[in-house]
Amino acid sequence: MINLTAKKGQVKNPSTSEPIIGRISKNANLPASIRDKYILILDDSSKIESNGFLAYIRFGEEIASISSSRDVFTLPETMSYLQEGDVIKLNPSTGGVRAIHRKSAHHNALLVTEQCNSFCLMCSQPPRKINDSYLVNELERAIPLIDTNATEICLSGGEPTLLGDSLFSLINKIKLYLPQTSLHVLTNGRKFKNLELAKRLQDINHPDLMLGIPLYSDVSDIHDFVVQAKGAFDETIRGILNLKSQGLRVELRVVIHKQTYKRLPNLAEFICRNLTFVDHVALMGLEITGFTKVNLDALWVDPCEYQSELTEATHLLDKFRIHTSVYNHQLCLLDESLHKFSVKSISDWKNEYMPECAGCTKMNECGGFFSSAIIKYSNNIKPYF
Amino acid sequence: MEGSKNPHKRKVASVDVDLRVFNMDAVKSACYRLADVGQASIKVNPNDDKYLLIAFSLPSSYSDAEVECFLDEFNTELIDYDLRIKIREETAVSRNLILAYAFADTKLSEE
Amino acid sequence: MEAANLAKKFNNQEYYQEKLQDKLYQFLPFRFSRLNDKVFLSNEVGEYCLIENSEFKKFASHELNVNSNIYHNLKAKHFLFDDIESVSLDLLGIKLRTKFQHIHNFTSLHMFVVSLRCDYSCKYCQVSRQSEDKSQFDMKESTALKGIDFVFESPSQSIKIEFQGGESLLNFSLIKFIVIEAKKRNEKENRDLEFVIATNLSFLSDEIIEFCSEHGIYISTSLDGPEHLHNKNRARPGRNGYELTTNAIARIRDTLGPDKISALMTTTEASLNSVKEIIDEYMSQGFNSIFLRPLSAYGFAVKTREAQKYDTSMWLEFYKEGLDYIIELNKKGIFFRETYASIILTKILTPYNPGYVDLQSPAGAGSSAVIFNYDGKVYVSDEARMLAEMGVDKFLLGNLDENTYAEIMGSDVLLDCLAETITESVPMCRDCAYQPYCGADPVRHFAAEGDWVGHKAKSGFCNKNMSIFEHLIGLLESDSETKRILTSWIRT
Repeated sequence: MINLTAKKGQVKNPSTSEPIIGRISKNANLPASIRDKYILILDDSSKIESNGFLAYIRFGEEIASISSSRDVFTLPETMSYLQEGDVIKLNPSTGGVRAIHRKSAHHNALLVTEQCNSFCLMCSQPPRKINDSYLVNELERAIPLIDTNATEICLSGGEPTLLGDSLFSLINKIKLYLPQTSLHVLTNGRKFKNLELAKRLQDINHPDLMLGIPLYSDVSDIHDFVVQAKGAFDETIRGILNLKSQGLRVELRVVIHKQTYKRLPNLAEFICRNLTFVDHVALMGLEITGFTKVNLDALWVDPCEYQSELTEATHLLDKFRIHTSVYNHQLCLLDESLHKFSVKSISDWKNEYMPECAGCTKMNECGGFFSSAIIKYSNNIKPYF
Repeated sequence: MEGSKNPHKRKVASVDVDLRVFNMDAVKSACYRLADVGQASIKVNPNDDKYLLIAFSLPSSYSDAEVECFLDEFNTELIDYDLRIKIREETAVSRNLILAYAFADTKLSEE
Repeated sequence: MEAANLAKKFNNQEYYQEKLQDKLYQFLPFRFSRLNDKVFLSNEVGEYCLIENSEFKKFASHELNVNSNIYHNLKAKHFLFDDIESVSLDLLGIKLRTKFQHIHNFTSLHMFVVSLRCDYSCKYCQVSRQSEDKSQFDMKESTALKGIDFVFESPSQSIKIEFQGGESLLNFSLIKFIVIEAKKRNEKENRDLEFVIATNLSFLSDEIIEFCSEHGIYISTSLDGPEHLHNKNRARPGRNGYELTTNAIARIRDTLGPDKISALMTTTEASLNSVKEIIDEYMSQGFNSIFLRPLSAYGFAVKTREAQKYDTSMWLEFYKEGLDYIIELNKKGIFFRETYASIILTKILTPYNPGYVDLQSPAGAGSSAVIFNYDGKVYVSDEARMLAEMGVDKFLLGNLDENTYAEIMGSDVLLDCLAETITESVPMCRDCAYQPYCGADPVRHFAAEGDWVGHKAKSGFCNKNMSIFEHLIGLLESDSETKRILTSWIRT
């Protein structure tokens, strides 16, 4: 597990109290004219010979003898995975750092807000009612710095559509600065019950955009219960219909837990009948983080117990030629016929293996576990030999 | 539906239907449905026009049990067709909405 | 429903259940029919629920328990709604539009009878001629050209041109002519054009194979069963029909490919006891599906109602035995499909229309398929053409050489036929729970009863189809393996 954030660090001679957002470079000899966008990683020597960078970072213990340049941040060792090309935010007030975009990572999720109009029982990013418009502002600054070879980025929250206009300008900016990057936006889709919003999104004309929308049941009140919002099901479906009517790509995401697994085949049937035009369906394992921890009793079910429902649902969707994937499940827990649908989906920064996995020949193919799974995971983990 | 002349050697079974309970259309539909077995002759009771008199002409080979069975079936059909009328009435509005939604904005309705 | 053990700030499921003011819920349009001791319900787009009688009574009286599984199923499948804001009406509208999309596309199958000449004298055929005189019974090029014009008047993007007869290969030069002309026209039209030659294969030659290969043409032939049965039904000089046909099938498989050859069987009384042998024959000839077709139409016009009933019940035994056998084969790991079942299952289990002409409402006759006889006369279907040969020209729409497309496809014959037989409104069909899966067959009903609507309580067509629907639904609800097998047959 990698920590994307370190709240506190040491900072020497901060020249500003405003957050610093920049791209990491190892090259002390970058042309002077562009240095002010980069953050230089200092090598072991304590001397700073190059000037003009946005800031300087190093890892480990503070060295008293470091020369008195401005904006030198000493970060904990846990952050030493940061490398050239990563985009980070440094906080001069606390010495803290947040990794916004990592060049080498396959999955990069950009948090746009922590506010939400739902309150899912298993929310992995519990909503906070605070003014977090600074998040979008920082992203607006970060996007031009992100490596243009990035294959995919993801916008998530909270609920991104609560940003209103800022969301559209953010997406537009991403389109302009990262035209070759796939954009995945995670949203509950409810605000798109307003067709105008869907049209506005289509008008941006992003070349490779997919909206990932959760749908937890074929029965409206069960879905509303899981997301703890009355009318959410109807709004979400209307949102999906509007988005598809504008030609936008939609993925349905289903988190499988005690409240949703029984009707999983019914949900699959519902999708095949009513939402047959969706571009992808992701059937996902539970992440033991956020609200899941406090609702564990109502949510936890060993994946072994729902294999027949999962198998039936997956094969039905597949029969209807709906592109389907199974995420966040360990291969040894999955029915053999589902292995070909299984995708290594856990972001590398939260991915682990358990002691029971020792010696397993399929470790590489298997996605492993969420780091948070240490709290609770299946009793039936068995390595392949 | 006026019954045809009763061919001789057919069995006849009769039933009274209370029009305060059952819709006339339901009666006709039920008779139509069973027409391949029993030919129905329907009249209004001359003494009490709230009742219909229905005489079914059934195959001569039918035993009493089979006749009873036929009448039970007729009764079930009658109740079912009556229910169908009720359902149709209750769903008329939503049905029109669904049809309107289905065919609005398609060239089918414009051409 | 047990209450979930949730942290404090979370609400239980009951909190999210809406209730309408005076009733628990309202119905959405549905039909119902009794199936053994249960009740089968279907909605406007063919989604179904099979429930106990006691549950149906509660449902019908608006007394169903809102926490029950049945309630959830009926709500999710759009048989009821309990919220004014419900999106179910929108979804039903979209599904209904999908279901009727094919009407908008109109006619796709166009059959050209290129010749009535034939080397066979099959028991059930009323059409073919054995004459040597080509000019009398072959379609003329000028007629064919008018037929091609007609084809491209259809708005359908997908166009299938099928060559029939008699024996179509006896006029192969006209087939070539039509294929080349149609392809030329299609350079501008840009439709999805497909060609099929229906033939007994007696006259298959290298030249023909090469032409078919060059133009991607499909071949459809007749194989009634094992040798003794096939030759009994389908007589030709030399009595070697089976040998010729099966050799040709193998040859086509090797040259054009296995996906380019298909076979149809015609069921006669002689077939009724041999369904397993017929299926085995199809498997040994390398096919992975069979269409167990109804008893041949010939003679049905003259049979008494009693005889028709007998025929229907004998055929149903034949069909069910065949279907059971095929399911057993699938359970052993052999993928083999019964085509009629797969068409019906597609209607039951998916929102799509499988495009089978004889199970559509409005009727597929004309609206989906049309046939041009060798003499230019236009009929709504092959059966209609055969009826005409027997002296009944009720379904003659016009003549390519004398009438325009508008006159033919806009004729009263066609429009009245379609409008008056539409199953959404005719007696019994209107209320039948299987209506979404069934269709109008005006030609068959007219031939059997003199009335193109037909009295469905007495109709062999209705009896047959209802029995099959009930049988298939019973199978779907029986065991999960059978359900999985049947689901694998649907066309998506």
